[in-house]
Amino acid sequence: MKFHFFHLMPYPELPADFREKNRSVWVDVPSSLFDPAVGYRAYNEYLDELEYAASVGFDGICVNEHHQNAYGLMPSPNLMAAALARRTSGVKLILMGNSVALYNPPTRVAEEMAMLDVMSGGRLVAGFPVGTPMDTTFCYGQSPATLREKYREGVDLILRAWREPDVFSFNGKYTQLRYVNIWPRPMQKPRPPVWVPGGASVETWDLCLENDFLYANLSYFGYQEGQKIMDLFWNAVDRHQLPHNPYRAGFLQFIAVANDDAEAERLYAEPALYFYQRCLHVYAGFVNPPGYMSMATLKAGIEGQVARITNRAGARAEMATLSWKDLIERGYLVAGSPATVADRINDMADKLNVGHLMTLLHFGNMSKETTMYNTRMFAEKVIPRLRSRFSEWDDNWFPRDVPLQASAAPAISPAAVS
Amino acid sequence: MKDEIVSLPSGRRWQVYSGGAGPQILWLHGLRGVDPDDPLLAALQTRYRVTAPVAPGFNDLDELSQIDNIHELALDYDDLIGALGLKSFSLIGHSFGAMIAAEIAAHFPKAPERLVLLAPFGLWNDAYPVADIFAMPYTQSTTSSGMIRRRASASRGRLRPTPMPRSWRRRP
Repeated sequence: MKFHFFHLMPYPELPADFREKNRSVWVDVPSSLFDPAVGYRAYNEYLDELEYAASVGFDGICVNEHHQNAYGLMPSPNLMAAALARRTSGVKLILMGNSVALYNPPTRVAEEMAMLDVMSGGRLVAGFPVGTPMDTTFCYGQSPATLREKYREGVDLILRAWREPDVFSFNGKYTQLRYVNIWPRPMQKPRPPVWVPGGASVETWDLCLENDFLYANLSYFGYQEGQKIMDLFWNAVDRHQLPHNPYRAGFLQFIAVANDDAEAERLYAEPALYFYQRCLHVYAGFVNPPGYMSMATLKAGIEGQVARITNRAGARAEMATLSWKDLIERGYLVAGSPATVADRINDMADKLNVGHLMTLLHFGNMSKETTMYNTRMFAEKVIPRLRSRFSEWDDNWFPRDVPLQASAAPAISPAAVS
Repeated sequence: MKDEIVSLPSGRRWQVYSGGAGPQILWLHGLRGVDPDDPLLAALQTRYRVTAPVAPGFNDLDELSQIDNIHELALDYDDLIGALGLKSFSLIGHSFGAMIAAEIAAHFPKAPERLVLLAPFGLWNDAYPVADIFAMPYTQSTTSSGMIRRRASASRGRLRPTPMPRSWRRRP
């Protein structure tokens, strides 16, 4: 099993009455709540936390893309990945990723990801999310009815731009380019591994399985809730007559490790409730514009996770009164002693068959000290208990370790320059 | 009003309501579809011939599979106007239908003799931004995604052309 440290980079100082005073954390969240000084501290501490995770033995560090969102301060995760590429070595950079349909032309994504792969010495995982309705329709003005088709065309173009040795022309419905010939080309051959983070949609699974992409379910509601979706994914794997290799799947899980349950509650209850109550306060009208969900997904009865908590009758009121006990009982969070956490993750591995675990060890307004404690506890006391899971399978969805002459560390120290 | 299915050369089928006698009106309905018992339509029919097509997607979502944008929608309506053999007519649109009517008039300025836009949707004015109806939660909305979702669940995913339920034709 492989373990990755995922950072959402939430704004850490949303007021306590945020839910009452504002309709949404996303799309139309008031700019008056953003203090650049707080943002400066947050970005730097969050990068420290990602670098720290790399130093204590995580396989990958993950950054992702959101727009006009107070719980995700990364409109461009590529900038974060570039900063991390220079400050880390060995650890893989999981860019989760670029919402392809938002970039015109999509070769921009092929270029930036190729830069990151070369800069990092072949450590990039290329993530291609469709993107949430909030990001794509409401912030970036894309028609939900054509978003998926545009996305698929963009992914095709990017893969060709990486693959084709010669200049080629691309005559798509959404993009027409006479000369496609990106410089640089990725270091990894034939291409960096592609991961598709998504809630759940039938088309996404088919896309992953037809192209040998990893499917990552980024759930905020724990693995018990995630089981239904992952079962549907493995059914799709059966339909494509492929083996149930756990490394073709990833899952996101909130995790809080402490010496015991009481310490877990003391350290993690406040940041967890900050996330569920303030960060997930999304206006219901933004979560499912007509046309965003495909007919096949609608027919399969699949509901988006943000839609689930905003649209169901009573769901919003329920979120407002959530307690730490609720979070644990419902399995949103895996929390407790290292042994407890390892047991739960073993259970998840049994039930969901996922080889790539994306851990959320920072959430909400957690302090840097607490995050580092959580990260270290997980790396030192939980990972060793789980490392051998799925060792009988080959992981074909992750960058290989490549010995390189050049160091990722700065060749000239700042002191030498000044 | 009489209700018939009109086939287009492209193979598309349109449900079209019609009634009354006199100068021709092409009526494009709003977000709630065509209500054949609408008193406004009844009043118009005392002096005019009223033809009221049901917009693509209101009977069957698959009708939208070839229509990605407003231009394709305008072209689709042009096909319908041709199939109906309408030569001189007044084009009246209400709400969402007024948005389509304005687009038809812009694409084919010689087609309608007169253009009437009732509470038009989709005409942008910075000083008076129109409500974002596509950002209305479906639990609070009787249109758009809520309608589609309820229809999909009511028919267990088997969507096919059906008459619009009466409950959608009238305001509650």
